[in-house]
Amino acid sequence: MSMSKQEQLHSTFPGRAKQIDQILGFMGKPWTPSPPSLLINGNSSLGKTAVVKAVLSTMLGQKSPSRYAFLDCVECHTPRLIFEHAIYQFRNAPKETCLSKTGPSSSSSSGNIQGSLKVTMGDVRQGGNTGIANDKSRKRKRPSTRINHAWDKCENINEFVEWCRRICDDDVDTESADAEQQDEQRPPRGQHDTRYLVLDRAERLRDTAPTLIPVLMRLQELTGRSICVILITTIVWEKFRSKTGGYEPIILNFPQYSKNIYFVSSVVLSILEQDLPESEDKELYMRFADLVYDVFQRNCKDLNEIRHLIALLFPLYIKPVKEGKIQKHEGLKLHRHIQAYFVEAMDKLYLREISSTEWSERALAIASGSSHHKVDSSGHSETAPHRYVTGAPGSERAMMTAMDVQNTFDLPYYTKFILIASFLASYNPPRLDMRYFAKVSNQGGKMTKRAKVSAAKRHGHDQLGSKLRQQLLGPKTFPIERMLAIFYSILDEDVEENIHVHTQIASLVSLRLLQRITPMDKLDSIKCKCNVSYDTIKALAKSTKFDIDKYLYDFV
Amino acid sequence: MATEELISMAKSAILARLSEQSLPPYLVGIEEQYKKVLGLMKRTIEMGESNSCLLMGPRGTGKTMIIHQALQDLEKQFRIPAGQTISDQDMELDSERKDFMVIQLNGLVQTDDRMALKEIMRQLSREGESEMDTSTTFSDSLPSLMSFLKAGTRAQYPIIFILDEFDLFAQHTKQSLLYNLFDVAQSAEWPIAVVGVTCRMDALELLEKRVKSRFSHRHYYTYPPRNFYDYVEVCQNALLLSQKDLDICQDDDAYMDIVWNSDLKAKAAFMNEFNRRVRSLFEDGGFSKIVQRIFDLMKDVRGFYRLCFGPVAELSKDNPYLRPSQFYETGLQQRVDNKTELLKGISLLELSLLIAIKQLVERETVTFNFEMVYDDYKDFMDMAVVRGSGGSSDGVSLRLYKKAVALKAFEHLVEAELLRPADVSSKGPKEYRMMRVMLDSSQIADVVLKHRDCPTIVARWATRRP
Repeated sequence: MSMSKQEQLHSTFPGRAKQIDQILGFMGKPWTPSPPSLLINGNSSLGKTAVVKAVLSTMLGQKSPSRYAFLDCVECHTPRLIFEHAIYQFRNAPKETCLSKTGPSSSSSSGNIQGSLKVTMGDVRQGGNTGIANDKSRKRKRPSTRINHAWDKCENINEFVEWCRRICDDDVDTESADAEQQDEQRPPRGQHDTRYLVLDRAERLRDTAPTLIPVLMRLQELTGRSICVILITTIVWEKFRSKTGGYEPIILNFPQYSKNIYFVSSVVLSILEQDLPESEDKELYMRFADLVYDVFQRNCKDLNEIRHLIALLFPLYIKPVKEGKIQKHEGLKLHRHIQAYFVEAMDKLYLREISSTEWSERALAIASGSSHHKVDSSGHSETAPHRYVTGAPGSERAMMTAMDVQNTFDLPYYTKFILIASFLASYNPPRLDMRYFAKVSNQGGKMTKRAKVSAAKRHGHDQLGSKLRQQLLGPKTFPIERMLAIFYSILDEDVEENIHVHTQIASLVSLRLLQRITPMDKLDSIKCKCNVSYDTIKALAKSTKFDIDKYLYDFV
Repeated sequence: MATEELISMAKSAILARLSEQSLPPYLVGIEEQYKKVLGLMKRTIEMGESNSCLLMGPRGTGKTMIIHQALQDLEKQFRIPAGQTISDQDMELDSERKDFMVIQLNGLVQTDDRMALKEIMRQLSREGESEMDTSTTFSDSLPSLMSFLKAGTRAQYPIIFILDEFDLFAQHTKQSLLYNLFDVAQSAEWPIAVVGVTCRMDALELLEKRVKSRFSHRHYYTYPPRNFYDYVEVCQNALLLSQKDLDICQDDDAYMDIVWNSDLKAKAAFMNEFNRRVRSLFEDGGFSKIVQRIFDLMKDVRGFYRLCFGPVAELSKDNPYLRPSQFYETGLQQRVDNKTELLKGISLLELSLLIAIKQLVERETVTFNFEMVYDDYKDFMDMAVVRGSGGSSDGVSLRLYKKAVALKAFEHLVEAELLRPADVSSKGPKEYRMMRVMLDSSQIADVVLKHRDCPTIVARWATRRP
């Protein structure tokens, strides 16, 4: 019986057989002593949470007062929440979680791609955690509907330790009743089943209470009962150690999935295969998944991100096939067709500059727009496919850049110059202001390269473009007077009313484009920092036809 | 020969020892300290003498084990089993047999005096010895506890207080719990023994003057195993099976049965064979090298225990005995640097950023920001592209990622706590926030070598001296 469970787990989680066996080995029979604490360690999206959850729910899921509690430390951000949730879960039957729900195959069930995409995103981004949270909060509000125990209060570690003892002892009685029905080996008398307390994203535990981690590590010793604490985290154990030390957990490392090109059975691809939408060609899908993984794994090993990208990009990939413009087997053509989208996806989608629904809507709109075009101008049908393959991404790119411009806010004319002036004040050394901005100087604003180099030498820098230039170090603070001087210098016309300039500065500060360093109640000698990036200021300068590069010292 | 049941019994017994749920058959290297602590507790129980002592030593040297062992022995000797009526023939023995109470507190759990007091009340009332109402406030319950304790005479039940993580109790405000406990111990009204356990060698210095003067200044030290032989003996003890583990009766009457009872015979044979294998395990060269290495590194028995969990859990009907080969892999696993393991799975872009950081650090730019790292990365990529080797020397094309993509990778490194902000309150754009790297440059070089798909040009960049 347990063998089949093990095999089932192995098949659900490709490439994780060794880790599953190790965890199962540590668990052993329900009543065998377990290690006091385990630390499961690995990069994000390597199936740590899913594996632990599935192992526990398949092995212990049927037992009625739950043998395990699964908590997320982001959700339970105070010790009290951790204790109360743990007690609640231990005293009630486990939630009906089956393998198919927790496994990575969860999102592929619906045939509709759009639908499956939404499920994927919900599942992928939240890791299914919101589901738990909602579930729990619902239960908390109406404790009488689904449960036999009310919500128990537990405020501190002391009470929690006592609760743990009580929970384990409660069960010795029920178990002996249980054992008669089961024909498995009977546990020794007086022994209770091991309880598992799983804490996901355990790195957050460090922020809660200083003694919490040492206590959890030796909960078994403190309670005198068999309780195993499993921490799941992305960071190394060294970061958890407290000042006086404590019990060290057994560390279990989840390595990165491998994609070995020489073998057909690649772990990554078999994981991605589980997302295969129904009614889609498997071979085509796998080819696409392979392609996406190869393109994106250079900067992103997160499989969830890649699944997300595949789900979004696949409709675009198969669109020409569905429309009959490109045959399935014409891999190169398809590749060329999708290539342009990859660049867009990298910039926009991967960085989440726009939401994925927005992106897919727009991409599909463009694609269908071009097909509309084809329908309309059915006379030129022979040019249409060509137009589609190369034209669509191009028009999309135009739209994206338009969007970027929209993103950059528009400011009044003088305010733009104030911002430019403060950028110059933040990044230029004050000593060189004379050279750049003095109006009497005949070479004002026209500092030659040689002059720059000599200026640099005089100020102790070896050369321009060094690794410690201001461009890299970030903005410096400047007195507002200096900025104003630069402002009047770079502005050719006269600004008569000084008061408006100061209002503009105030509004820039409130927009967070300028950062005020001196406290707000200090009205004299204000000091500021420019909070704007070089790219933004360049766009701004361009819109005012101001050549900012001429005035910047030591910029690359 | 070895049945399923026997193996699972053996496994349970060994795992219980490894997880420190049960005690080893005998103590090694700390017999002296054990005798002293036991004697102290015994005197409290037998003579009604009040005592206090402090047990100090590094973690994993057996302090808690001494306490548990002592309590277990006392239990056997003095505890009157519940429900047993004193028979006539025991009358003279009765004067020696005395019941006693144990109150165990832990500084990690009882984080303030109020909680500790509540816990004392709870443990007292559980033992059925006090009918005090558990008043809620500290100021109410402390006097009632104290009056309860002080009202007693020497004839009362002795109480043994175990204060684990003693140093944390000393950090409570005013140390009122410690003061009162030591005060009761000193005034010799109710026989109590206060045993503090701590891993801080300077725990005594933490005590206030008034508390310190009431402490008896008895302290015992535990040390890690002095030499390798002691260490091996401790390790071996945990793995060897004893007769108790397999439910083999030790009574003389039963011994006669063993000869006839085939079931017990099989058990005894399995035990002997298992123990023989364990002993030969420690003679194995590779295995003892692993043990030696743990001993050299930390002298901590728990290090060995952690190593054993996996192999012991693997015992099954087909593999009833421990084999040295099982330990080789787990030994290796323990030795790996977890950070390097974690880093093996990062993407090429993240690796490139780490190499850039390494270059910066080697140029003695210890604190850096994202812009500096990106600038270095960009320089390298420009060079790689100019040389043309970025194209297809490894069949992969290197490409310069945009700043925003690189920033995301950089933030991932921060999230994994491989980078840490250099100053606490840093304002301003995050690209310019100064960072420190939490890795050694040799670790980075190591990762580059081990990374699965790192192009040679990037690897060469990593080894280049600035």
